[in-house]
Amino acid sequence: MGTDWSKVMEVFTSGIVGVFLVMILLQILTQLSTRIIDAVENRGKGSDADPDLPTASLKD
Amino acid sequence: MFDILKDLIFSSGVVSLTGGNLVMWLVAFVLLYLAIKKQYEPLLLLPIAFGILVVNLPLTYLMEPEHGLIWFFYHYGIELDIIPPLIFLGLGAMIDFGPLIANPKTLLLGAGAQAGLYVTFFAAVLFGFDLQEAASIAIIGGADGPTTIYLTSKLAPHLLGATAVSAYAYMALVPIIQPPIMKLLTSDHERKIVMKKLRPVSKLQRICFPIVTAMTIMLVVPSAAPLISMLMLGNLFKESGVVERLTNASANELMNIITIFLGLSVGATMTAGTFLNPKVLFIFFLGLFAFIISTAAGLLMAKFMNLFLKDKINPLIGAAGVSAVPMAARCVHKVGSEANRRNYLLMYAMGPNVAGVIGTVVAAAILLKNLG
Repeated sequence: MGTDWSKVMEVFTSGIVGVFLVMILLQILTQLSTRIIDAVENRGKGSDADPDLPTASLKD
Repeated sequence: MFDILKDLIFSSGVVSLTGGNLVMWLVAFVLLYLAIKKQYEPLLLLPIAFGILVVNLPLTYLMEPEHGLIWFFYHYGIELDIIPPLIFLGLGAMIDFGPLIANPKTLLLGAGAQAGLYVTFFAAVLFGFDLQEAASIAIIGGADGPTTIYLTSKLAPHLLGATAVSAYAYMALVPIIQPPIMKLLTSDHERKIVMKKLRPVSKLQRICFPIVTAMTIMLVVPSAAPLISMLMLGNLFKESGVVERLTNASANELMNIITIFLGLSVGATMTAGTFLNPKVLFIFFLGLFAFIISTAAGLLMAKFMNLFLKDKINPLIGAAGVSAVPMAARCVHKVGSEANRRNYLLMYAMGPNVAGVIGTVVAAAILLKNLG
């Protein structure tokens, strides 16, 4: 039985393109999620320090 | 008395021995030597070698369907896809995705290395293998044993022994195969590049990564679910820090038990009848080709990325995109430190190394979707 070269090309190209697309998507989502978490954590740290500020301003 | 002796001799396996059996014993002894004396992937090669040995002792019927002891391990463990996902559970509990989260760009290196896999697929078809066989051979380039076994058992089960042994053998030979390719494709200046320090990764980021990754990959490539779900569950166990017993069980006891069944079952598929034909032996050559091309593709991908990056990456880390955790990363570090003794590349190489595991699973899932 002859080789179905159109199928071979389909597997070849969809494979390479597919892997890159999934990994790029994963990269974007990883960067996005880490930035969001960074922002939330920095804000948390900021608000931990915040309670002193109003107190200081009241004293002033 | 003579009749009893005659009966004993003729009912023994000795008279049923074939030349093929003897050749397979030789293969088993070589693998035993590599595992015990050279310590090349001994955890897998030792049970595989013993499986080859015992299944090539005539009249033992260890792989007899519905009867043989090892057949039950093989049938329930590999044919029903239990063992490879469980190996991934243990792997996930051991892997540190921190370097990848700190530098997500290295995910592209994990993807780049998979290009070699598809080149090999093309080459295998040219050499007369059918599409399912070609895909099972190509996945060897991913240098990921469980994924190779998973895909081959679904697409070309008759090649399981050859592809699995080939994958594990080349993983063990990473320190011999990869350095010449690394040196050939990179300049001395490139090997000396010192990379920017990795950013710290918080615990919450480590916890979110397996969840985001599992959801993303399973939504886009559902056929990757058995492997990726277990890999990420194992990693979530580890990073959550609240299920230490489950983490330890996955990474140690379960992993060890499964490894025994996996090795023995894979070895037992290598009977003289299935293994000793030129087509199967050619798989070892194509497996090596896959591994070399994947390494080269990872390196070239890193060089390509450097054309656009402000903070240059050391292109050597691209070679770690072929999985083989952590051996490929160690190899990168060694070659890098030969060029610049103060260059510590291990942590940087771990990013593409674990990205390679994810990339190989995605590549296998796409092959399965197209050819399964």
